[in-house]
Amino acid sequence: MTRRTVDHRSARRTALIAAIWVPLAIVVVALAVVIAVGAGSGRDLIVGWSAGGHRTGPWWTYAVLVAATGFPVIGFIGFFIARATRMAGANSWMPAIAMGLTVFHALGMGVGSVLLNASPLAPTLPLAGGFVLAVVGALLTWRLLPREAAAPTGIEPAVSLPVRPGEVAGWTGTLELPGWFVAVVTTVAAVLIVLGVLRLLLAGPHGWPIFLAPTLLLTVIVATAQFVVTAGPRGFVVRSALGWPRFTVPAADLATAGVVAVDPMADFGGWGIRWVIGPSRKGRWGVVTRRGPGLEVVRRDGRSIVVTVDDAGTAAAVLETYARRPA
Amino acid sequence: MFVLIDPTATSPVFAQIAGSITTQIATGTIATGARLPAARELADSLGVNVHTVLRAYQELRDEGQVELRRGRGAVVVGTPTADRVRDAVAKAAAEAKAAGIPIGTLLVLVRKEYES
Repeated sequence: MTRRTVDHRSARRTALIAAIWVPLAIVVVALAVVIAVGAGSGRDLIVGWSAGGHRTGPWWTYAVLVAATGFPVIGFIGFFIARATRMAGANSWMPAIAMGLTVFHALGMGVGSVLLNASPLAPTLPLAGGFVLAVVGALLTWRLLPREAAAPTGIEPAVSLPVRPGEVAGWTGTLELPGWFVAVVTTVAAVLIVLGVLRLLLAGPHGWPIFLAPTLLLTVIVATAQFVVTAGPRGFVVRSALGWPRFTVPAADLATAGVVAVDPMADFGGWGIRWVIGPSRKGRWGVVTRRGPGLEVVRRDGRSIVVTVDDAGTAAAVLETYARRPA
Repeated sequence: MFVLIDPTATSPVFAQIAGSITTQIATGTIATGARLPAARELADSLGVNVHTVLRAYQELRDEGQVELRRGRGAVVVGTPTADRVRDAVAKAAAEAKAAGIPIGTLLVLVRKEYES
């Protein structure tokens, strides 16, 4: 079965239907069934199964469960799909994830657990059945969604600068993670570290691994919060404000440079420092902090680096000037 | 930030760098409050000595265009005269647009005023 390829508008429309409207309909119908059956029975349902016996709770526990997982999942994935500029890469499997999660929670944990509440097969049958349905729903969504026609591979090289012999052109720029994001992550890490210290004081030193995750988180965020980008006669350098990580393309290795439209989810599957095989199949690094125009620098062997700096056009023109100049 | 220099020219490279930055501050390409790249970075991008760039930055500080702060680097401070000129030009351009005067005519008028 070959996948249909369509233009961006219809790809986006079908993706929005599959990621928002169909899951929303499933959640609403599931809620209606849960409420009808639950309120109709008028008594408490089993809400927890364990080896020793089971717990009961009010029937609306399931309605709350369906609503409290269904709507946020749809909202979260729908937010990313609505903002996507290209239905490719990670964007193309997000509708399938929305579908799978919704089917599992709404039909398996919601409708299934209510309908089969007193059955001896609960909770295995509703959960296993919901899981199978979810996988089938996700795979079907993935299979049936049309793909967006691929953007033309290869970048539009920038026009080199009219640099006269003897003149030297240089460009510098910076690349920053959004301030609110850094603030949120550092706050979370700081809170975890404080909690870890409290735990150490109360429970003794054997709990030290609790610091590993927040410390790693802080290190990563500090190392990637700001990058300095330079372009000039020596080539191209992207360097973290800390000095590492860094990427370098010497002028002798420069093939071409240009401006590309970056969609973090479609092109790199997310933000930060990324590596994908890329349209050239040679490997493409990304230092991605936002969507929109970015600079792509291609090496002679076809590998490339994409950075989402402002004023990428000037940087590309500078690099193109030194890429074309015979060494 | 984009800088173009000519090491073979008669004027010293630090003056060329300072001049290039001065022009960009005057035209608003570099905004007030913006931080200039670290001297090390700019020197690396142009392939010149870091002291050349530091000298250019000191020149700009002596002219009151940037402030050099330890730890914060070179920060562009608004020069009131440059801001006033830019505001006046913006006003003239808006007036010309409203009156339907083409840009060529406006430029001729500006040149005439400047040279008179």
